[in-house]
Amino acid sequence: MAELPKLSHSAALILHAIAVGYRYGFSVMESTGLPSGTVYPALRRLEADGLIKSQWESQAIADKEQRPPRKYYKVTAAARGVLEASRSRYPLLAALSAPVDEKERV
Amino acid sequence: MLFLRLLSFLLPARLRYEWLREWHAESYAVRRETNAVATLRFLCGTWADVWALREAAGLKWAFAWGELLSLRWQSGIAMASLMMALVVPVSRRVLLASSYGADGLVLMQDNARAKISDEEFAEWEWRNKRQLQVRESAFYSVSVRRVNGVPMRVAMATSNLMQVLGMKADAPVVLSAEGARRLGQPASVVLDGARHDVGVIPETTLRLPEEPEVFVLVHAVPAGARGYAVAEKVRWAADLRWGVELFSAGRTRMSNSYVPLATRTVVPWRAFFIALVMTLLALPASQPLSSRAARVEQQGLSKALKMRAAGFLFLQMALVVVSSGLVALIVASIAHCSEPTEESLFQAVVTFALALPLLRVVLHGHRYRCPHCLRPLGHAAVVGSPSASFLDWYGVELVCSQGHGLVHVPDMPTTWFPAPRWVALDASWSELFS
Repeated sequence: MAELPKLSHSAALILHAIAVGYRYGFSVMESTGLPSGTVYPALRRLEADGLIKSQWESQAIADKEQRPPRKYYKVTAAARGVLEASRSRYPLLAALSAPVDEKERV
Repeated sequence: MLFLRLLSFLLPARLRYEWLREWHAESYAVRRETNAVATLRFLCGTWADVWALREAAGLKWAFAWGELLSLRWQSGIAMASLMMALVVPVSRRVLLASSYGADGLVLMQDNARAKISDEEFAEWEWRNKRQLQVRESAFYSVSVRRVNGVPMRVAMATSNLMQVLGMKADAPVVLSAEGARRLGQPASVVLDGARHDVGVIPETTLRLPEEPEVFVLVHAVPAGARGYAVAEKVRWAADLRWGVELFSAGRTRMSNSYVPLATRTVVPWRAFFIALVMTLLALPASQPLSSRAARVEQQGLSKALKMRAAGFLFLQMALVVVSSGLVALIVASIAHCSEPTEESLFQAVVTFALALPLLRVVLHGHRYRCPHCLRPLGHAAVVGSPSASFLDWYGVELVCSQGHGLVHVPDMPTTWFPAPRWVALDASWSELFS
């Protein structure tokens, strides 16, 4: 079995935030309190490692809300194990980023 | 957003559009939900993101500083300096201005007071002409008055002022180039409720005391006016800095001395050449260049190749010196010192401070160039060990990428290997470099 990658605390926090429903960069920043200079490069690395994948929001939804379309991230199946390992490595991870309410989920 | 668009050019083209689109969407959300400060802080992260993406794409940030020593870069820097000097308004005026031909013109000054009265001027004028010290003298007095409703420095001057300065005055009211610019190049101006046609004198770097913007030429200045006397000395009155003691009709003691107007004229080339001479004098005195390791023994090279390398070095040095001079001119112009002499000194110091280290860098770089193709030598390799210094050498070996030869640089100069040595490679080596 391949060894699971060990994430840094920031990367684990960002991955956890995405897993609990914060799906675009700024919402991840707000939930984790991390600056943009940390969040966006980390998103690139997590995507390159196959732990998250991105998808552009449809233009129709963006038009309806009168804003540019967002790039949404979601965790991949491969990330589940890494996430579990990170949660056991950083026990306070869940406390640092609360899950999104269903009605706030975007 | 222009900032994001400009930054996106640092990314590979295939990543650019998506990166721009994402940051545009994100910054829209930040702008809508936070304030300007938070948006700015958010945008600071763009740099880190660009950095990470470039690294992931395998693009290196490392800039080869040695490239700056290439003629292409140096020419580019010199051209950019010239363009900037022509764009910055103050340095542009200095570069393109002509002086009044201040040679031979003097300010007649009292040693104790900057300004003299019209009566004292009359006394001086009379005595100087009688003693054949000056050919012609003029007087002006400056006050701030409204011209076309704009407060300006207006000089009431004797009608011969322009003649003394070597200018043609085709109107009784004359604007300086700066004054004409401030008023929008008018054909006439309103002064003291009356409209006057105006003439404009060309751009100059001569700074008369108080720098008048408008000259009103009158037959006689108002009684009691205090101002400055400008005179054209006679040719043989060479010693301009002597002082004379005069006693006016009221037995008032006056100490008369002449100050050349040339010292009140910003002449950029004068400061530049002074700095250049200082730099060339200081250059050999700097320690590493005076050491024996400064030269590369180039035995066996043809005279033509040596001349070509020397020409290349001369061109590099000339470009460095010109760039330094232009940058110093811009800096000195922006600093806008109160006196022309201060400005010239400032320019000379900045030129010296820039040119000396840059020339040293050029000379250092030239030591490790191939004398055949003038490319920088590279692929440094350590050769030998300190124990080899007995009857042999140890140090660093640099090679020309085109296979013209090697330079052996000893780490410890010895009597048999005191300086870096050029070793030419013959045609049998060409296969290795093809």
